[in-house]
Amino acid sequence: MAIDALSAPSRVRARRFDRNTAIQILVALTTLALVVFPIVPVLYQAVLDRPLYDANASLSLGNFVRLLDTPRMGEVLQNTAYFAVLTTVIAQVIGVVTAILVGRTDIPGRAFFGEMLLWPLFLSHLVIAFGWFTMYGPSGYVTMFVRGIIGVEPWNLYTVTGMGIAAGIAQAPLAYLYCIVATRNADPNLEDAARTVGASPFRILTRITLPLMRPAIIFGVIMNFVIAIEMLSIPLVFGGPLQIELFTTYLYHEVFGQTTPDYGLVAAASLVLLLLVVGLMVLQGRLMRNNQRFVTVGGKASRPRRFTLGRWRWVAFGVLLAYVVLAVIVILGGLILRSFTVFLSPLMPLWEVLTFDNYQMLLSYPVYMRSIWNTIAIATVGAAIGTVLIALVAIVANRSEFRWRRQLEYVAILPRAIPGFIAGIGIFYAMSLFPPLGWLRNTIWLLMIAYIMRYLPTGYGAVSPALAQLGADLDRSARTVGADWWRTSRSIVLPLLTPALFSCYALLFIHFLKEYVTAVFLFAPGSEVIGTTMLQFWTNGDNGPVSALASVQILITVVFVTAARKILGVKIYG
Amino acid sequence: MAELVVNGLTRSFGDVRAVDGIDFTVADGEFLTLLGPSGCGKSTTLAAVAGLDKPDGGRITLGSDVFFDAADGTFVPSERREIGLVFQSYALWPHLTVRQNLEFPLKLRNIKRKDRAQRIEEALGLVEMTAYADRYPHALSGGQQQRVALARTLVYRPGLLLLDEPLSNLDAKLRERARTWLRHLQSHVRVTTVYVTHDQAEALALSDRIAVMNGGKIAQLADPHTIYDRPADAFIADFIGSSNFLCGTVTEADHGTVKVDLDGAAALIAPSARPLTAGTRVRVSVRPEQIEIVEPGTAGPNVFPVTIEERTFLGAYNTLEVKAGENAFRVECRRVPDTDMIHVHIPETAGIVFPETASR
Ligand SMILES: Nc1ncnc2c1ncn2[C@@H]1O[C@H](COP(=O)(O)OP(=O)(O)OP(=O)(O)O)[C@@H](O)[C@H]1O
Ligand SMILES: [Mg+2]
Repeated sequence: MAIDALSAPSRVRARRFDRNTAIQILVALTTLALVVFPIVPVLYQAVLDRPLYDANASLSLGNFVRLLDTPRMGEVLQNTAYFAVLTTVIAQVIGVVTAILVGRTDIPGRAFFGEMLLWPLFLSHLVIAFGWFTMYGPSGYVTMFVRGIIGVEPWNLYTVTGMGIAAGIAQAPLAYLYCIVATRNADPNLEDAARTVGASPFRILTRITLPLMRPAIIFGVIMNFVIAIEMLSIPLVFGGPLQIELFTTYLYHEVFGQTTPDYGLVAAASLVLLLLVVGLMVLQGRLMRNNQRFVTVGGKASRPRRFTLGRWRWVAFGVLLAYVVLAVIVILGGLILRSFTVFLSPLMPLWEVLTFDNYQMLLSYPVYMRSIWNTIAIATVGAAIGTVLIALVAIVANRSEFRWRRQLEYVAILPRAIPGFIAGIGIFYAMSLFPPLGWLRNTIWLLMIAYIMRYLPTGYGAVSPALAQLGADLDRSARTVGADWWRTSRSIVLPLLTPALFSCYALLFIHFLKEYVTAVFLFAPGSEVIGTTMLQFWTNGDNGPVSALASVQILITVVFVTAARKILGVKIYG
Repeated sequence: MAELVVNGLTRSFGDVRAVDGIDFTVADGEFLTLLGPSGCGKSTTLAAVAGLDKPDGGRITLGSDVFFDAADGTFVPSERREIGLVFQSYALWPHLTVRQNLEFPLKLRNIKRKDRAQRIEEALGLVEMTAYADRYPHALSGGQQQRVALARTLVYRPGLLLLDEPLSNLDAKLRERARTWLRHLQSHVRVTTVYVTHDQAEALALSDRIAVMNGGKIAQLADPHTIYDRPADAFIADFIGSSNFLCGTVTEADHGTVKVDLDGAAALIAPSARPLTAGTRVRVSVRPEQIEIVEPGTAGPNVFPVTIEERTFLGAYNTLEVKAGENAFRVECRRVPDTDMIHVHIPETAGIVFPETASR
């Protein structure tokens, strides 16, 4: 036998250069660099007594002391807390009620409402804020109209409460999204069981349906709270005129209001915000883990039964329709209408003020056109690069023998805890900290990098569940027939992942289109995007072109979302 | 050409010793089956041989190639072992046609287009699937997918064929046909084969030899007849076929035979390979089909009366649940007796005696 074994030719295939590990390491390092790049400078600057590019800077905790001593800090924190709580409560109440109405009752027009309630998710807060300003602001169309009838100022949007209501309504779609998914996945047997023991529909709703939505509600509460804390647009637009400061606007003014920004103070404040958000995310993780017992098993085949509203059916319809008209249609319609007028007011007949001047202006000023083209370029190219990176991260983290694959996943979802605002500041600092990166300054590539980093978790969240659905035997069989990891990934896993990658691309595209907070610190003449230009010109009072710019953004979004859904059959948000 | 040798293979998952130091050799062209109940470590063993999972200890070689050796840290990844594995789920790539599924391994080996076409033709012919070359997997039945999966592994002529419960997703009738067909194919191709199943009928019908596994260890490794007729312990006797176990105490032990006093009933003579002493508590395994119903009044050893407790009609035959003293067991017969009291005869060569302490 020994002789036989020796004479038998080896069938084992010779080892080539191990490209698999090389690729895996490259992907991991890229991700790590991308995520660490903005955080490290913030951490570093926070404990330096001078700007971090200053050679004489030394370590100190002075920044934090100064932050506490800031004159209006108490008021700022109080405003922020009140704003965030109000926003969250309003968003969640509207989100839960609308999700139950659309997802679980026989209300008429469910498909229409389902679309309308979700649509604001595709739009930037800045656009929504301008919509509110145009229609419900002190000199807004609806405000003036109501004042004309009742004779007094009906409401004041320029208060923290006003901001909270606007922001709450702007965030309601997110709460709606989580809850509607939960209503779809509910196990109908649980409610049927309650019905058989004689529970009334109302009792079933409060005792069974709502508690089962608890994980979605908790998830939404924390998401919305975090978003409210880091929101810049609405506080800036509505708080600016009366100098109501929230934490983000305080930071914004610290950077842009001073001739020489206090870098240390800004970094310290950012760090505080970062820690708060990380804390909330950890809390969310904890709460979600304990909520496993609410996960209903099986029962996907049959949809839960709808509650019959009886004679309340049309009442509910009326209320929901009024909400959709006032909170979505009036705002977006008004904004678009505003872009075609010189001045929008109920006191003047519409035909006298109609004009194309605003659009003419967009065409004639290079900065407007540049913002539009830059935005489209970043969304198109950036989303493609982002999707490639996310696909690679997902397969390394989930489908490889890479040693640090678990850690890679943590790094990839870490940016969820980094507010866009801070990512922007961090990268801004990083530019001064790493001079070789100087060429990136003032280019849209810098914005792309920042956006990709920021939305890494969003894209990962779209790809990794799809990967989990893909049977492991499919790649294991490719390995046994002789394909190495990279070949298996390329020829088997990625092609099977195509639908999820399309969704990821669409999601990134939309987010990149509407993102502006991250760009606020990073853009420069030449690398403006629609959001930053809108913000700039709105501050100057050029409301006409700004509304035209917002309309263009809405148009791009509508065209893209429709095309992606209809032509490519892409699923965006479920 | 290639002989598979597995030595002292171990694999633990946390506290669970999924594979606990097993040894076996599969001769060139031999068909070996790993048989055992769910969770006994069959798939883990197969994954170790395939290189999909890294064991903790032991050594695996195929011919002159060392696949795995814990002693010097050798571990050849799956893609370089030149083996074929048929998955229980078939794992056909859904985005490729049958032809493309077969073509992928050939492309990886840089085989020329013309040769590829010929080899695919050949492999599909072997599994009688030529007509389906351009279909996508989802448009194939389970049995057809299973054949394509097999063709996909045979097309690149692997040195070792591994199959993990390849027939378990087929219905009973198809499974029987596929079994015959698979056996035929294997003897034709003469590739060294390791087959995993928990279906004893499949193992008995297909294998040159069977390794019965239990709790991560090999309980017995022998040809199907030996496994069936002379199971090494009570566990195997119970697992292979459905044995009756009659409890009793040894009263006389001669070399080769023992006399057992069944609890509350007559004495039984049975062959015994083990040296047993009088007074030992034993269990005697007897298969239902070996027990004969005899006319009342028939005299002789191993004939005793029983009462029928339950009758079940199973088509071709009936089973009777009967009781003799403390012992309840099953008897098979063509015609159901009309009295509740009958006499049965257990041939003196039929029973297998296991001491009660034996594994189980
Ligand atoms: N990845 C794993 N992690 C933890 N335990 C595992 C893992 N894989 C297998 N086991 C355990 O190892 C033991 C053997 O598993 P294995 O899959 O080899 O069983 P099997 O004999 O193939 O069973 P079946 O007939 O059900 O397929 C089982 O107890 C199983 O729970
Ligand atoms: Mg198994």
